[in-house]
Amino acid sequence: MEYLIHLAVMSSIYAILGMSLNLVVGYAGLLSVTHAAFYGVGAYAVGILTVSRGYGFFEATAIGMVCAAAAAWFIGIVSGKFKGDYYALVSFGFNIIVFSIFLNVQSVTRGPLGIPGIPKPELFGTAIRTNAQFLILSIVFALLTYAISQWIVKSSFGRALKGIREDEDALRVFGYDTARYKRIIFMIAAMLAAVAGSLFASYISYIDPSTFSLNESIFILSLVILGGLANVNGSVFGAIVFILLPEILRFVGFPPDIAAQMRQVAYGAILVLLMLYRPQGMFGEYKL
Amino acid sequence: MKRNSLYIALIVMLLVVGIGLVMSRREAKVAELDDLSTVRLGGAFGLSGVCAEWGEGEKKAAQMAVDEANAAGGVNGKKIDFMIEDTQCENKTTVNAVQKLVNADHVIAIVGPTWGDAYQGASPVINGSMTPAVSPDTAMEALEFQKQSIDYIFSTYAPQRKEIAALEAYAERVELKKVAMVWDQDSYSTMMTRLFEEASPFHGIQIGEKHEMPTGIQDFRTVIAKMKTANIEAVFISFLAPHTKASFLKQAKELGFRAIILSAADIQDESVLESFGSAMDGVIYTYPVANEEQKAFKETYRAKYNEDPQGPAAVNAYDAVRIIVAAIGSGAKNGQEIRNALEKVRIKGAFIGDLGFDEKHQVLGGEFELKTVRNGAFIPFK
Amino acid sequence: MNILETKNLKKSFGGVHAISDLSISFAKGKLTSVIGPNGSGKTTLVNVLTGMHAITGGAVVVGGKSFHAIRPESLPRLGITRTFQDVRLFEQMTVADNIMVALTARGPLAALLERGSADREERVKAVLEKIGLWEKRRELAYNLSYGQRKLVEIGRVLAMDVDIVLLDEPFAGLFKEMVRVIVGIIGELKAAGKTVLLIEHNMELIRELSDHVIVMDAGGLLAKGKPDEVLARRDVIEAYLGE
Repeated sequence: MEYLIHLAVMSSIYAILGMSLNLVVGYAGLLSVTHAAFYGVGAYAVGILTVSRGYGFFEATAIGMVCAAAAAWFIGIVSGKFKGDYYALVSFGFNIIVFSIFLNVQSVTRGPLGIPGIPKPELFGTAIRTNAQFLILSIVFALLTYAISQWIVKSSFGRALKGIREDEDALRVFGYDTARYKRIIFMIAAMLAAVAGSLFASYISYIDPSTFSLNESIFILSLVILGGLANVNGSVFGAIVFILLPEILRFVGFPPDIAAQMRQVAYGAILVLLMLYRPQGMFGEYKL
Repeated sequence: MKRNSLYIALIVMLLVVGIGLVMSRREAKVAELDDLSTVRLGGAFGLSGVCAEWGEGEKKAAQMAVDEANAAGGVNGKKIDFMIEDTQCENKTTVNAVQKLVNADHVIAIVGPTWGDAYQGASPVINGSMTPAVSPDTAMEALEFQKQSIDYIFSTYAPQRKEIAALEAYAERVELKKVAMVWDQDSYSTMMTRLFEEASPFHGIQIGEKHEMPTGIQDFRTVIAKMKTANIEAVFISFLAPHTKASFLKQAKELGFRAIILSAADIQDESVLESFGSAMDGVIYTYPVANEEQKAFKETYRAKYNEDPQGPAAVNAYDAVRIIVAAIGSGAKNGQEIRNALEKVRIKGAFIGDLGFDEKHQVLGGEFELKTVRNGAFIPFK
Repeated sequence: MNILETKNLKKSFGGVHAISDLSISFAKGKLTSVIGPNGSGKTTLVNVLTGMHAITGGAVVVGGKSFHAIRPESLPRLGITRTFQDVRLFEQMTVADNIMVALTARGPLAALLERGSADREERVKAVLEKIGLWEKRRELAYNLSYGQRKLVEIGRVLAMDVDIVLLDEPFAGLFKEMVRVIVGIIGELKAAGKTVLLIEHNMELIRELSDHVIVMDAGGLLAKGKPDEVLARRDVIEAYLGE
């Protein structure tokens, strides 16, 4: 049971990451490969502030969200000048820069050693102690993210995002300041990713820079694509599959001396097959 | 229609997980070993990812120890059920692996996890569940530095402080006044160089140039050239991967860099020696004093797997299993008792002849000698 | 009264002068056709007027106010809208949504708070019925036929409901029946007092629809005036035959 609860917590964290990235990639059509940077900002905000500065979880999370929004605003201004593949490359660059900051500003982040001992959140005076209690918190945040995503998507803002994805210059002609729209959705997505980071830091109680590398951004992007672009449910589904699939494979009886490698092969093969079967993703209505 | 079938697929997947859990671990968690017919031992190794160079050898060596124990009748008459999981060398995947071993497989002890930066996330699970974990390649100084609880965590690897003491004693002896440092941004290397610097004043050593490199870099020619022009007489290197160290040595040779190169024990990786051979000649490093068990281990491993032990910590994994087996064999019935037993038990180790743990849960005693590479072989250094 | 003018307008792409020293005007409430051989700068003109290309020199005057730079986002405020020669719809959005973007709040914060409204739904319905695509309202734009796509472009313009409408070859590649539908819609635009700029090649349609005609050639003004006069001119005919 504990193990399933653990997997459920991880799934809800990744669902938040997936849903928020989908707003940028699936709806606005911006191929952002830097989501892990904002994930990391949230995680490090909680890690740094709760461990050595005595902040509470929720205050630290709020600060993390503000920092992520600020970073997103800045990154959005620079990358907004690029389109398509160039945008993706610029976003790569930002992920690498932010990762580098986590790794090298050792006086604050402790660099490769990471920050252990991150406390669990305290709610109305009582600390969350069991993983089951934490699961409730993470599901609440995931539901909030779901509600926010659905709200955005179903509003006029969401329609405008799709217009940006389809033909940004044409949409401008009809009176939309698309640069502002892109910056705003990027900031919203960054703030949500920071929340996921806060949850991760507090749950695992240890963070280090390697969790927030380019690989992680690609991982999140992959689960969004597999779940289906421009579909909020799809991102939830994608998160669950990406977390559960490797774990399910642990129970498949491969011969022990090649089990680890076979699992990687099987994992990769299943993903490829799923994409062949439905290139637009499981719930996707839109192809990249 | 398509939407429904996808939801169904999702539910089916969840059911598979649930069924898988039930089928593989039919027995519920038990508090006492007596109630089980086998001894469930977990193994958490880095089998894919950045540390896989270490993990494969560790897994094989551990398996060898388990097979030997089972061949000799098991522990207290019960066979060992060795459950191996891949940590993928990363924080979150290590936690997943340990969570599965502890909460789904209900193992009584774990060999692993490995790597200071990856397993710090797993330590709350280990300590919280009171499942003793003996790591084959963790230098625990990082945990100490981070003020983390080591309640149920042990390591059969070489303590960094001991290695550094041996290296710096040598440096002092041959009057090396200034030593430069080159390392990568891995937590092990970070700790190693930090401790090296900390200890240097006590041995009359001044730290010269310091070069911190991104992990994974393989080309050191610029740094080496720089140090060569600065007439550095000695340099201490520490990198995540043994083959990175070997690359450094090779490039140093190519560029005619004549400084004394110092390293810790993790350079003694047989498989790297195979690829780099005499390019590694000349490096001076620390290693536990040779004993018969080390040789025997190498030969048994070669006989069983048709290759040299892979990675620097294979022998440590072998010892980790054996010391856990000894602790259980002394009558410990649950996690807490096994932990207490581990703190007292001594075995004839392969890594260190007389193997036991000190109060910091690192290997007790053990003399470290200096070794070097000559003509493509690891030999003691006089 | 001229609601839209250019004063010594220049547009260059590197060394290529697509528009050179063009001073033309469009009378309020009238339909002015802009014609000329391929490469004469007609579409470039519309792109400059709608801010999709930067002005290299000269000015665009809208409602008496002079502009040396136009941001596309400001077009509705300036009272200008357009169709595209190469039909730029929002492909993976529904037909209804393609129309709806003309009606919803433009400011991001207002748009975030705005949900569906019965009023806007009604207006979209009215437009779709006028262009005969109400049944296709839930269809994704990329599934439509070429003619239907051109109709959606017109529908968008109708929904915008602004004073100045720039139509870039709205009839190109259409069957006769479709052409009549669009002619009918243009007639309604004129009846509603809109100012229309029409880029077109078909002489009959030009004669049928235009109040004025402007002829461009090699980025400059060749002739202007009433359709019958202009189309009978020697130099105009030669410009067309010469290509």
